[in-house]
Amino acid sequence: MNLFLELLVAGGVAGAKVGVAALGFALIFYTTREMHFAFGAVSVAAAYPCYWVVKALGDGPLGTALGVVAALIAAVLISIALHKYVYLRLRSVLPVVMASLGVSLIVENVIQIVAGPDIQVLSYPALLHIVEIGPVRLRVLEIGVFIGFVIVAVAIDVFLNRTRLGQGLGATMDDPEMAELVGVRTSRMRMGAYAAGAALGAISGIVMLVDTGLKPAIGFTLLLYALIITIMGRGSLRSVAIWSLLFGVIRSLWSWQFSPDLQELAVFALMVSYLIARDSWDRYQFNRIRPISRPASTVGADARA
Amino acid sequence: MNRRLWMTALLTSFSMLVAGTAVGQQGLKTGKVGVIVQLSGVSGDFGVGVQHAVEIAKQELADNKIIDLQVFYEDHQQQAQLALVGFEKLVDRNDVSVVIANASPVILALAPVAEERKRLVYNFAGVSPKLRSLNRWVINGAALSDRDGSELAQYMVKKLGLKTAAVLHVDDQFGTSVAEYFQNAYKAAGGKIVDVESNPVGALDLRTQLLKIKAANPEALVILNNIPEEGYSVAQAREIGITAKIFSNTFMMDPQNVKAAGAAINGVRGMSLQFDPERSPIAKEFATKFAKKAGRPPAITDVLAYDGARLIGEAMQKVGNDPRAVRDYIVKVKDWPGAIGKINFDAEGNILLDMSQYEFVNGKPVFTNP
Repeated sequence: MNLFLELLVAGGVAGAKVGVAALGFALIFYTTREMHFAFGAVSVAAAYPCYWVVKALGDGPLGTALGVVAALIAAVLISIALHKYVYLRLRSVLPVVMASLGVSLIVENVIQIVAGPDIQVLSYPALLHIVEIGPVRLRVLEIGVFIGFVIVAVAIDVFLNRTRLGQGLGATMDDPEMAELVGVRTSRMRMGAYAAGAALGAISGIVMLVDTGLKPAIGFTLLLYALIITIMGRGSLRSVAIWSLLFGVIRSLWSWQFSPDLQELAVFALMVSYLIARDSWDRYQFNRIRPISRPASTVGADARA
Repeated sequence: MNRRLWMTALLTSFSMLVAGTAVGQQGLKTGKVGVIVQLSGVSGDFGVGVQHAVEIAKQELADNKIIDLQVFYEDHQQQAQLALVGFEKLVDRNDVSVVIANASPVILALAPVAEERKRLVYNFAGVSPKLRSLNRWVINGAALSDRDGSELAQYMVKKLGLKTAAVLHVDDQFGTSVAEYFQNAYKAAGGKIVDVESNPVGALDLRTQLLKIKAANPEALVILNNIPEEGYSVAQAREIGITAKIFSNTFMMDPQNVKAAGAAINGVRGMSLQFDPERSPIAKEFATKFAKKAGRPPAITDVLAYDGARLIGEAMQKVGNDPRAVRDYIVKVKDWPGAIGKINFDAEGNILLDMSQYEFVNGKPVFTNP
């Protein structure tokens, strides 16, 4: 039972770590429909200024705060610049995919040239302190990431559903043309989505900096998980938050009774099954309601018969 | 007029420079060597370190008027298929005689192609026991882990009295073969393996595997992983409360692992080749040059790559570029002065180096039987 609890908590925390990045990626994708494959690389690249600032100013509150601000600014500026000067000029899906993959490689290589290929870690003993909750042992960092993830997920939900600006963003996600017609400035919404998504990505990068350390190519893993969860979310950020946790928990709990070797396969099989089932259900629902919306002439013909 | 004068002066200087270079290279033999390592991707740091080591060797060979070694690099990104493409390019385009490469899956993939293309592969970091006696075209310049696995098992069971152990290994050719060999040696020594877990290449979070190992409650945990996954494993094992003694191999010495593990590295023991910069002037000079170039001390694998490049250069100077002759020269050296120590090979082309026990104290390895 202890193992079950430990795996459950470890999975939840792993899901929360991925979830922060997944929310950022999903926010950008759902709003702009741009497959921003450079997301992982940019998130990691943005964490490097944080590392440099903290190394230069020390790991006290001021140095850390300035480091975080530097990372957020770097992520937001790079992402908005990519959106405005690269993706918008390409105007269709495949060229954007190609360009973002290319940008991802360029960013990785630039980091390797500028920062070197070696692993960079920021060590905060207070964050690495172990807290024991029953049989479960967690670092303060993990507890913080989990709480932070819940706060971010709830804040995004409240923002989208309870504020005017959020409703504008939601409208841009659902139907950008209609949103434009009713006066929503969709271009600003897209820019805002890039800024917020990039900031969440940068936070993930900073967590990695303290957790496992940063390497130039580490962003790909971040992107891969964020992308999978975004697909599972099917346009809903609330679903993205839930799937992030489920992703981590299912992956971890699989190991309770089965070999961890197959945990990735099991999770992906489950997710693909869900997508197929969900799609079949949607089609079934669509076919069920279609007869009601038949053209009037057909209805008349039925009546005459 | 002024512009023409400048152009003439520039052209004259350039001609003098070219002429000077030609004179400088006169009498110096040339050789072509390929290097296939991971220069990008998640393990890019490993390959970049090796690149520094090979470049230092190349420069020294030229400075000492031994040989003008032309080195061509290919990036395998930890994937055997990319290594094969790189190998073909190095042979067809650059006509290299010898290819320096690493990683067990890569060496296993290259061996048959090397035999077919009649080119020598010098392995400086693949340690899977499966690499022993592949064919005449592969030289193992890295100590294969059947020896250290066996010695580690003996040390754990006989000397430390640790009767139960769990193994965490990377799920690739290297990890599975090394883990299998260690398990057999451990059982033969009288120990019991209570759990074996594996993780994919490039894993960042190994807590799931480690939690299962924790539940099996072993006296010892043996980590046979990649860099820096070994470091992550140690940090996360201690974080989730594994109190078992942790053991590992040569790779744990890598500075990337030490960085990733942080303070948790203290107390980790194992078997490794030993690189001591104070042991010889060659070792000291290399350590100094490497630290200046890479900004960190050399890992054992950097030292082995450096020694390999120097040895290949020397062989080419003595016997020319014929891969067969280079191979024969290398395997016949006796007490060749490498930075790692005195180098010898057995008749099958496997390096013979003594292993030492180590334990990390204050973030640094302390060798208990140097």
